[in-house]
Amino acid sequence: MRSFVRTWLAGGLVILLLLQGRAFAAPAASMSRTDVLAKLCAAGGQDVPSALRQMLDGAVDASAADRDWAKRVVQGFSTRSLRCADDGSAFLTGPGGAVNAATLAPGASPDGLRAPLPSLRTRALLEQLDAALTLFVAPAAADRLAAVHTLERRGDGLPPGLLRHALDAEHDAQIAAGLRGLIVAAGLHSPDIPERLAAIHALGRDPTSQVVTTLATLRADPGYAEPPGVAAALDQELTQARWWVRIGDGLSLAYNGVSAGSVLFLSSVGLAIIFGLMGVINLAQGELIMIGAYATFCVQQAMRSVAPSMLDWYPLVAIPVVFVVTALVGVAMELLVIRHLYRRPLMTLLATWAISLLLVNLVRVGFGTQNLEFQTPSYLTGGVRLVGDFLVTWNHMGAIAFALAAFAVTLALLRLTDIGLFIRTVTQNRAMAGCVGISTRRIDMAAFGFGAGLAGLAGLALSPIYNVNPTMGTGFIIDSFMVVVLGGVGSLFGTAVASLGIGLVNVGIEPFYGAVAAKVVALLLVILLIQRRPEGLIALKGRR
Amino acid sequence: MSSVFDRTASAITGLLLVMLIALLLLGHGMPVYLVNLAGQVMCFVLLAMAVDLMWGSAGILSLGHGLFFAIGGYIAAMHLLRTAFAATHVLPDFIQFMGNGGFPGWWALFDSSLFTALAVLVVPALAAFVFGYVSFRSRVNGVYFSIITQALTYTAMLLMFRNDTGFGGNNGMTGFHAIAGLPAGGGDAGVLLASLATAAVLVCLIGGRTLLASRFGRLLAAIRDDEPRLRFLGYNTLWLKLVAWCLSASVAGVAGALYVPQVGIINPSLLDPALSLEVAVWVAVGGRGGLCGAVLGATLINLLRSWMAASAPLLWPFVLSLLVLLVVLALPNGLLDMRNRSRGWMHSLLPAVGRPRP
Amino acid sequence: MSGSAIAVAGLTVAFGNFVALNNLTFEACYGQVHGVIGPNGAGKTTLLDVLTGKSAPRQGSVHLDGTIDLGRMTEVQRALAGIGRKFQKPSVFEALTIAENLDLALRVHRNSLLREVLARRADKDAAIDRLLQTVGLADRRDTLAGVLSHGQKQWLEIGMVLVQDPKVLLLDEPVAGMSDEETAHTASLVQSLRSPDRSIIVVEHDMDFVEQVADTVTVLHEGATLFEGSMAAARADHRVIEVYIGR
Repeated sequence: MRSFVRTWLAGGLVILLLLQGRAFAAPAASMSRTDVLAKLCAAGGQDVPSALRQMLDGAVDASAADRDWAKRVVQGFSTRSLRCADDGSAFLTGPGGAVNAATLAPGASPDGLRAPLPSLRTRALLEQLDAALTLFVAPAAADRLAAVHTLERRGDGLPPGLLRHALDAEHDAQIAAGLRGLIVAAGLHSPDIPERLAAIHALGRDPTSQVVTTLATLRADPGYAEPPGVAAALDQELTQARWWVRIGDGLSLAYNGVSAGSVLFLSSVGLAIIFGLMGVINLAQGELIMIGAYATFCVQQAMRSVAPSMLDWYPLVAIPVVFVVTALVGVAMELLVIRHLYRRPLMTLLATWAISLLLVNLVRVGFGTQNLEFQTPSYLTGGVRLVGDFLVTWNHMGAIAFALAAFAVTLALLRLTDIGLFIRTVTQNRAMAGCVGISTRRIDMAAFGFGAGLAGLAGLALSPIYNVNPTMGTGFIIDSFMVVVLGGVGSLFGTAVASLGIGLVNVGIEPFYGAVAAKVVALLLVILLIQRRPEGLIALKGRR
Repeated sequence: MSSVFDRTASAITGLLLVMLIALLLLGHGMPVYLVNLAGQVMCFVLLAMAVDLMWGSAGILSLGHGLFFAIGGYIAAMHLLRTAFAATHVLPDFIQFMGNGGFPGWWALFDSSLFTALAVLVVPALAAFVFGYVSFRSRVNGVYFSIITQALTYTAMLLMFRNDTGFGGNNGMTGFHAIAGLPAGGGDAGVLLASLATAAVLVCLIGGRTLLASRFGRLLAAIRDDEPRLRFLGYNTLWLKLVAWCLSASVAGVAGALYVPQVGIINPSLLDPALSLEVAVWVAVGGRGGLCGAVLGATLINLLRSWMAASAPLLWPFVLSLLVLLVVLALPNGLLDMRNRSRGWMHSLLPAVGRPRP
Repeated sequence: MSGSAIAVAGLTVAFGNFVALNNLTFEACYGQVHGVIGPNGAGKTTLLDVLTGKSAPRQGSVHLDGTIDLGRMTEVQRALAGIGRKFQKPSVFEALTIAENLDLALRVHRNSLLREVLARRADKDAAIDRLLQTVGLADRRDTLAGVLSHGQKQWLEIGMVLVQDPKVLLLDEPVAGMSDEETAHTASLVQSLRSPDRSIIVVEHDMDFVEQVADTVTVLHEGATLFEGSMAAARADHRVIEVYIGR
């Protein structure tokens, strides 16, 4: 984000090139307090810019006390608490009484004081000056950071050296990085060619598509690229920056694909297990996801009222709650409906559809149809930019991590535990499993509960990145089924590979041809694949 | 296999005949909403029969018949828009919006009623053929087939929601001027369409049951029972299934073509997977096989829905879902099962004298 | 006519890493009943699967009449070419009557599905009646196949295969689960099916049954031929004894 603004600014500077002449023309003047105050107080306000200029230029070399003073005067002037007396003296009024504006010594203020009004024209300058001074005097890092952001917008005409001085004094890494960006942006238009070249190279060191635009604009400006070496430097950096941006775009695509695939995996793994085990497509799977999201919401609300200080950690608290709630819903479904429809898969399809209809409407009556408001925990907001425009967002990273964890837990459960062994046994040969004494009904129930619980967790993982409402589940079932078909029945790895594949196809196609085309292509791919491999990508090997 | 006219089929045929005659003789005196209700319900009955033709006989459940219904509907709508344009010379909004200054050239084909009627029969069948060929050839069946048909319909819905697909996008097509010369939305047009729909149901019921009682119907039943066995007997089941599938799609197309002029609009909501799923529910509730259950289920549920839409719209989804669960759990073959159940129940009350073995 | 009906050469079938048939060579002749025995997992049913096209071999060839390459044909084409199979698990169309089952099995127009569908029932009735006599179900003509006993279903299925007049008749465990009486009936049924124009391959566990009906037997073990010859010789062969008893 920071670099975005920075480079935007660099681009904007090109446009302001012509206005810039006067910035470097102003002579560096020392900060004369009385002179400044007199100009501020002068009737008509014509001298105000000059006064501000004087303070800005002076700020570079001024003492700490002078900077502090300047800051107070600027603030007073902006808020109209600077009052001018007719005799040329000035006072700063405040809740604790008035002080002499020149000496900052407390003093009685005479009557009939006049508060000069900053004109609209001076507002920009005032803001710039205030930010520049803040960089030096503000003790809070947040204030200084805000000042950097202000200067990113209002950077033109800063006296040379001011930013470097501020950078030398700065301890905070983030603010320092911001200042360096400002220096580069200013340096790009420096009349000093080596400085300009250095700025170009510095800009190229952190390549984004904005940097590419900036560099390309500069390159296209014949006047700018005229001095020897500038054109070559621009070309070199442009080539490199374009490369990095392309790599970054590729990585973004992959990242988004993987994150979409993770969501798909979470929403379809339960479906895959249940389908593999019982040959049943649970059309209420999407509604279990929805219930998971609503359970998450309830946990959030409960924590908001019981332990508001811990609110940030509600997703962690919600994990067991959501799993248990949705698993119970799943077990109830299995006990009340599914088990009575054994060997009637098409009827089960209709029955689970009826259940999904029921669940959607129960939630609609209970919670209403509007989207739920989730508070995204602080550790899931924002992200970090790695290469080019490739931004690793924490909420998507959270979904990926969650999917990985779900994959690991499911794998461990299926491979390492007794119940996992039973589930695999029943999946492969139900009749034989029954013969060797496995209670297939109990396994069905447990697996259905587990699959439902996983769907609920998918709802939890989706809550920060999706619209949560009663009908949110309907969108999932078709995509999830594609995953199951593609992945092959009863294969966890197949489900994972298919999720990633469909996720990548969706994300890879969507930006260029639209979401509909992505869906169409995914469907066609699945149909084509079934022609070649009717049992899915990774099928259980054996004679059927 | 039961004969073409068992007791249920005769009763239903009789009722439909009475209804058709009543519509033709007294239709102009009836309240318009009643005629429209009858007409729309008959279209849904036709759609349910199309699904039952595949599901009840060959055991192949389509959850995507909304696609063929919508294709028929869109074709009818295109014809009606062309005739409306010929009468009023006002282009529909979405055509103006596309900015080509008029209908795409090939729409002129739909000026002809005959061509439109043919297209209503053929285009859904063609679409079904392409999809059915690739699916049946790779032996996709059971739940797989059902869900893929649903995915197909869903994709078609997304496609039609786009404005640049060229069929009115989100808003669909509306603004029909006249239906076979009768002002659209008027009582005469309503009676005509309701009579046509009822007649189509009758034709489909009698024709369908004749077909199912023929060797072709027995082959479909054999596919349901044991498709590999039939293949090892030297029958290429691909073509048997395809014929039934395309026929079923045509019937759904006709249903859509009769439905759209009645409601005066078509938009992609007909392609909503939920509608296609509900059609299967109508059939399941009525009872699969033999088409009578489809007529019964579609009629009952749609009448119940339109009654509840007025009295308790919020309750409807609950009623529908509980009804489905009840039927699926208690009456494995739908309401038609009630007959057998009640008979069995009566037998259990009577002493076991002369009780016929099943 | 006593030439080669089915000739299998170098046949290998594998499911994943499991090799069901390993470089198998096998021949069945017209006019003969050929028994195939072997312990579980020896590849007996897989052999039938390959002959009918249900499974695809990894290597090797299968020829009918010594000239027709079955490897290139689909299941349906093989059935029409004259390969009939009775499955291990009786598979009849339970929702249809016995007569209707046979009606579907009897193909009068092998080259046209359309003409077959439209064929008059009367054209088939005589043949169906004759067959009902052969398999002993004449009095249950209009009974639904679903309500038949296990043995009756087996006979019906044999009848359905027989009505196609196959050149090669494959019987997969025809007497499994039958009473002694039913087994004896089936044995005489198989004997009566012998014809100079037909080769019968019987896969069976029941050695007594095989001895009754088969002219030659092939003993399969781990996907390869262990022994070939008469049943009496097979009973005396020490390798066969070892395979059956030594495990």
